[in-house]
Amino acid sequence: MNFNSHLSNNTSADFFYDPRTHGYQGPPRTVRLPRACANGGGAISKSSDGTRCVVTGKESLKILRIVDPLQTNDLEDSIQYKTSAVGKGGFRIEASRNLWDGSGLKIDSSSTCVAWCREEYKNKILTSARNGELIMWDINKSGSKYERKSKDHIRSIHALSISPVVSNYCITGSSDGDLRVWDLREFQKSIMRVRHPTGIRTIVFSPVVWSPLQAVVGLDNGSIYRWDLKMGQRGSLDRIIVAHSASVTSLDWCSTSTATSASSPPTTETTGNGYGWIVSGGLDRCVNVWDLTSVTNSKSSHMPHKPTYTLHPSFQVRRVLWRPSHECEIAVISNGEFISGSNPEMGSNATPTVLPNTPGAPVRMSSTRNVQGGQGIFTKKGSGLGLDMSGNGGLRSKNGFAVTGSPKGSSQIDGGVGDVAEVWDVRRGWIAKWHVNGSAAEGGSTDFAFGDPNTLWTQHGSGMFSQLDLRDATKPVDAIPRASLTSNGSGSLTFVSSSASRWEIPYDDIRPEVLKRATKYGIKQKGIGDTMFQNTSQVIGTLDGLAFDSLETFVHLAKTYVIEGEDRRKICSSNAQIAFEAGHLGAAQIWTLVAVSLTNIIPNPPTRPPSKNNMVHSVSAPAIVSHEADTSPGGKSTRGSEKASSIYSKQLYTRSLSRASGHTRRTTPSSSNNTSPHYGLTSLPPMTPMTGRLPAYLGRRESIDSSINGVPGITSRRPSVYRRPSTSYSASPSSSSLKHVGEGALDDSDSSSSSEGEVNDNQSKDSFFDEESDTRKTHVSPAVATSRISHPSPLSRVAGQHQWKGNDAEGEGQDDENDDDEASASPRSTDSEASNGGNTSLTRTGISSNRRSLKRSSTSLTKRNTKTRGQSASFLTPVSSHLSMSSQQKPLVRQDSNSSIRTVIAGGEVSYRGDRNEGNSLKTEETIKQLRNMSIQQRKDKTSLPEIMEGKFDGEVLPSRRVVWTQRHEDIVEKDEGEIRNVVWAAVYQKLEEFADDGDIQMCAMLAILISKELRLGKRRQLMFIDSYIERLIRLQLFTCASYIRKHVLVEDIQKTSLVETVIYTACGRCKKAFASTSQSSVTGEYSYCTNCRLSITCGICRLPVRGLMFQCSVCAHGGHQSCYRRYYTTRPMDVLSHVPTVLSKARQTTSGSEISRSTASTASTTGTDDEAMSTTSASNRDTSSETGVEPSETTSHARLLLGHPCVVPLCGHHCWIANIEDNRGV
Amino acid sequence: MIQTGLITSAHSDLLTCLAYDFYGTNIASCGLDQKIVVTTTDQSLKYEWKAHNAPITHVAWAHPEFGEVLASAGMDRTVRIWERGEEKAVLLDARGSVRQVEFAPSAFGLKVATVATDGWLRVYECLDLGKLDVWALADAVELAREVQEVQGGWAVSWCKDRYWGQVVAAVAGATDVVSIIQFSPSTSPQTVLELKLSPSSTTITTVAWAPSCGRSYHLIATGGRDGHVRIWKVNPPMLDVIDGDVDEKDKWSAQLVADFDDHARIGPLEGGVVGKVDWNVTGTILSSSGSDGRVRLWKPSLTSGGRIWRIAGSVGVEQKE
Repeated sequence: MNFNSHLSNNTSADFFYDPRTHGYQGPPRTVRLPRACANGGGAISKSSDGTRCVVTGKESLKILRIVDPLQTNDLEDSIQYKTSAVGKGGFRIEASRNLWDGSGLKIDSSSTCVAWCREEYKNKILTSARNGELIMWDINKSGSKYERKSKDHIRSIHALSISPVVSNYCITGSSDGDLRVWDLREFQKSIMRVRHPTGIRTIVFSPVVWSPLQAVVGLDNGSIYRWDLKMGQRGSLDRIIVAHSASVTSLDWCSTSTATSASSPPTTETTGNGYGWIVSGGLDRCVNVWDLTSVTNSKSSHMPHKPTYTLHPSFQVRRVLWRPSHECEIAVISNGEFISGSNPEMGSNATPTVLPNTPGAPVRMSSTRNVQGGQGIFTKKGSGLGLDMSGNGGLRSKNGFAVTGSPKGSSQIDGGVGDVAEVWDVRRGWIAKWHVNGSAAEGGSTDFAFGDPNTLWTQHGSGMFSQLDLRDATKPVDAIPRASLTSNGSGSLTFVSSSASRWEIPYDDIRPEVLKRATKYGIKQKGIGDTMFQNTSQVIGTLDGLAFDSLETFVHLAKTYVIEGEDRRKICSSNAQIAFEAGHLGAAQIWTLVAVSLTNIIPNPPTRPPSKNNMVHSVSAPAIVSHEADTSPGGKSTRGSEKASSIYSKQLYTRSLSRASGHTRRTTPSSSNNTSPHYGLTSLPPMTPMTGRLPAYLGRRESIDSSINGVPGITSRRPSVYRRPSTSYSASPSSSSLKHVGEGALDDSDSSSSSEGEVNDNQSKDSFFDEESDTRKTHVSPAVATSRISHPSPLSRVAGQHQWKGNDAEGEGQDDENDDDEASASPRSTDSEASNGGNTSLTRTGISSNRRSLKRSSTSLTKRNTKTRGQSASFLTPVSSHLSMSSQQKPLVRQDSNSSIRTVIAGGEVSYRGDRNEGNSLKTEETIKQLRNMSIQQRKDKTSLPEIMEGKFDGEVLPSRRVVWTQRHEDIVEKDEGEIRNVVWAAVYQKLEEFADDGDIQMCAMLAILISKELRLGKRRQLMFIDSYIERLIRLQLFTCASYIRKHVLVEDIQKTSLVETVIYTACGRCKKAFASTSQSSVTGEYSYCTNCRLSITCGICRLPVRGLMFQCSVCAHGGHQSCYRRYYTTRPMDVLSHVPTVLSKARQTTSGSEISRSTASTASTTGTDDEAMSTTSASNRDTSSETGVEPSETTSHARLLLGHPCVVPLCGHHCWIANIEDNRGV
Repeated sequence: MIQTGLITSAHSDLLTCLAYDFYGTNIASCGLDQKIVVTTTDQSLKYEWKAHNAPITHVAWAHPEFGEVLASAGMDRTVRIWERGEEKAVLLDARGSVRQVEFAPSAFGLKVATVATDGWLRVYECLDLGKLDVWALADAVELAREVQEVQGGWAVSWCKDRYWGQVVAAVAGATDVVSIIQFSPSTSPQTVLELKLSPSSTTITTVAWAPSCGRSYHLIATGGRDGHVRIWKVNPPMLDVIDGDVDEKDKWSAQLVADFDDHARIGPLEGGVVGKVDWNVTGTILSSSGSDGRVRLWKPSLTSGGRIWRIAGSVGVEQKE
């Protein structure tokens, strides 16, 4: 338990006692006498007989007698007393008249200190005065008690001490720095003077019987001197220069083991205790205890220069006294006039002069703080002024009443550490043993003395005198919080546990009667000289791993969880995998469930992503195009195992295309919309993919989902720039393409590949428009357009279904249902959708889908008619269309061993993608075969142009018929789906709450981020989860994870954090000087220029001044219109700067090839230089993906290729944009 | 199961408070010896300085976005603000020893709530974040009339979330009533809820508001002089689920969900007093430290009847003579 834990509670209780509740049990002895010293302030000196004391203050000198009610015999006295106050316990204070009256002394003789002389002078009282006078009073004198005065000091006497041994010696210390020794027998003049470097604050006469003529002096500068008074100035025994860091205000000297101090005459002979102990108190809030027990009479024997004990009261010390018969205890009073505690500011406010002298006088407190001492009388009236300012004046005055009414009540106010009188044990240096209750009443103490060991006589600043019963004291240590603990974000708990004993130091008071028995048990009675308190009752410890969920898992997941991306289902499934690998099975389950549930059985009308996505991604698009064109034509063709089956795939490809186009041609006799051949043509290629594609080969769900989710992604990537030119056409292309789809479904694919040809024709010119039209379909058309436009999706679905059904019947009867679903789901998508969907399905389903596709393909491959083939081909195309997504095809590619077909798929995608997405002309170059096919088709197509237009028209008609039929089917499915989904979301929500209860904030936040809508989470709730998660991350110093969340969570409150106080400073690219916006007047010219270098930027391409968005190379300072540069760079191939073989390539490949991973994104973005990370990123990304697809086995041999765009300014020679990409060709 | 490492105290007398900083890498401790000691988690000393002129009762870290800022409360009736051991401000308003300080969530700025034995809860706000030296008394609430220090309990704890405004749970004096007080810039502080025991039986010595981490309810733990650890489930007014508007009509409500007397059971003569309760960072584990010399951990366990708080472990340090 603690230091005396070997004792049982019983025995320790036997030995120890609480002196407050044991020992003297008489009535409370507290009694107070107001106005004992009418004008305030004052000093106390006790008579040698211990029954009386003298209090003196400003123009006041009174003898007080405290009468015990049980004490019947009246003391003889030459002075007349009258009872002035009676305490609760019957104790009464009797006071004499004010002896000052009639003495004829002036106010500047007011007392600073007082001493009641001893023995033969016991009727004499000495007071010292501010003017340096020493005044003698004789209480036996009749009439005026004033006897004589003498003046030897030139300045105020601060201290006065009568020798406790030799009764006729008196010493005084003055602020003039002189110590003077007086012999009461020759009072005219001091008999000796000892000079000091600075003013004397306090002196104490030696109580040591065998060496009475010694004195210890405390100085203003904190030094303590010990003098042998016989030697005068030469009698310096000790000189402790820095005993205190501020004035020494009080000294007391006890010489015996039973604690006889200089202030109370020795009662027993000193026994082998040397010179005893000296205690000094100072304004530095320290009480030092000096050990003189080893000091001998020899002059070479010095007191130690370091105090044995240091006590640290919270206040500046005014007086210290050894407590009689308590060897270790020291009573300390504060220097503050009020209970200012340790606040010097308070003390300064509360100078005595501010104090009203009479209790009844109106009080003007400059600060409420003054009042808080709890001086009841004042606050009664003063509350109206000062106290109300603080708002709790009522409280104060209330307590104030209590104080005056019953002194004990004041303890309520003053229980705090700020109490002015405390009793300390020397062994416990940081906290007092007792707070004496009520000692702070009436504005603090100015002086005090021990009436007996258990009563304290104090004189208060207000003039009140009180006898305080020391039993009425509190243990300040009880108020100290001993147990504490704290925990941190990583699950560590640091605690302090305490098992304090009631009898720990300094409360180890042993009952006197059991002292002997206690000694037998090895309990030593405490005594001065014992060691300081050791804090053994507290134990500080740390616990780790308090977080029952593993921190490593949390951190790992925080670093790997993915939240960005358009396809939530894919994100979820990828996170499921991550969680599974991390061992967080619960999370993995939920992720999987969520992923599954996010899959739409029937695709919803795609929700368009916010336009900002477009902005972000659009940048990359042009680059993609150009890069593909320039750098990697070969890559695509070579990709995967396509080579092997390339012929076949090509055939498929062409067929599928032709089928679609053929239908359109045939069926659409008149196209209302399509006035321009372009549109029809361009729109064609996209359509085929939609209908056929994924569903056949891949899992139903995936394909569907992908198509839905995929849309936004793709559309977003479309370059916004290019969209603009095509706007005029917008309506027609979209509709037409859809129609085509429908037609394709209806009719067989045997039809010619005319569309292909057309595409080829238009490729070079219209590739962008082509894209544009796609976007139209998805983005624009629904909003803008006519009913026809809005219909496309149903139409396409119909078509798809139709197709598929046929397919199934042929291929695999069992799969009918599946196919149905697939079909219904997938067709709706435009190519963009398709492409995305393809990716997701590929990546996600992995084996299963593959298996399926395998199965089917194997069975159907041979049997299949062109229709199926067409589908397969189309399936391929969409995937490839998306650059970033292409990387995700990797899994498929890798598994090439499984089936040739699958690999075909991959290859097909790529090639097709090229066709559609980028200038078709470029793509066609990829494979000779392809080219050949295309060219063939081209030939055919050229002839069929008009037909195509017609077909479009026809397509319009078709949908209306079909829609009704499908719609019904959809309803049913949707309904069921909705029900199931509701159940799932409810379950997930429940689980979310469980996670919240369990404190799995990570999971909560992730769910809140990804599926808050599905879970019907309020914005606040979502915010709360994410916020707490971010905070948790930050606590763990996972700043990157936190900013990742902040970046990708589209919640304003989360994102704004990173925007707050973000300042972007701009500088001129040429002179590198900052644009100082404040001082310079705004530029008013036609174009902006730098005010420092006074030059404007001329576009390096069009040679016109630039105003507005511009690109400038930070190195060569050339630049120009952003649009000019974009146009230029996107069409111009990059120069190969160097080949850099690198080991990184392998790692990079794996990352880029994996599905969704945050590392992919980061590595990709770092491949480019900062200036143009966007464009190069996408380019490199695409390249790598194609590589990985093509030659998975050669991963180690990849090198890095440094490509750069030369500066547009001729002769500059600088490469302004540099990309660092993997090179698969060189190896 | 739990590994414990003992640390030697850097203080020469009783240690009164320990506090991890936001990141959990530094521990500040304060004690009777008027010093604040900042150590790192590997127990190397970082700063040590004499901070007050009286025993220091409490120490708290500010959010790191304001710097390495500490606030300490002392029995010298001051609250002091420190930055890396350097005194930045002294807050003097208290008329009794200040018993606890706690910084508000950083969303509200640099604010610190203090509770002192004069029964007042005061909230200060830093007006000059650059220098940290100008502080204004933003709010003051009288919680109790003065009570003798050794008998009372004083504690304050902020609601860690910002969605309900500035809310603190505070207790002062010899009472078992925990007041939940809402501050707002426009109106005077309002007590929105009182956590009351009936019949009242004890003095609350410590209060801890759990980080809610997005839960729909709050948990507030209290520890008392009777050695009881209690957990209140506090339901804040519903924030509109869909729109995020606050429905003014909804009230705060609370129910007692757990009441443990374990600390009182083995208490020595004086009886066990719960010295401090504290939540882990996700608000799922409550730890309490009592004068019975034990640290206990509390954790909800899932049962058929819902979540029941149970003891999850206790640490006692046996010391040999």
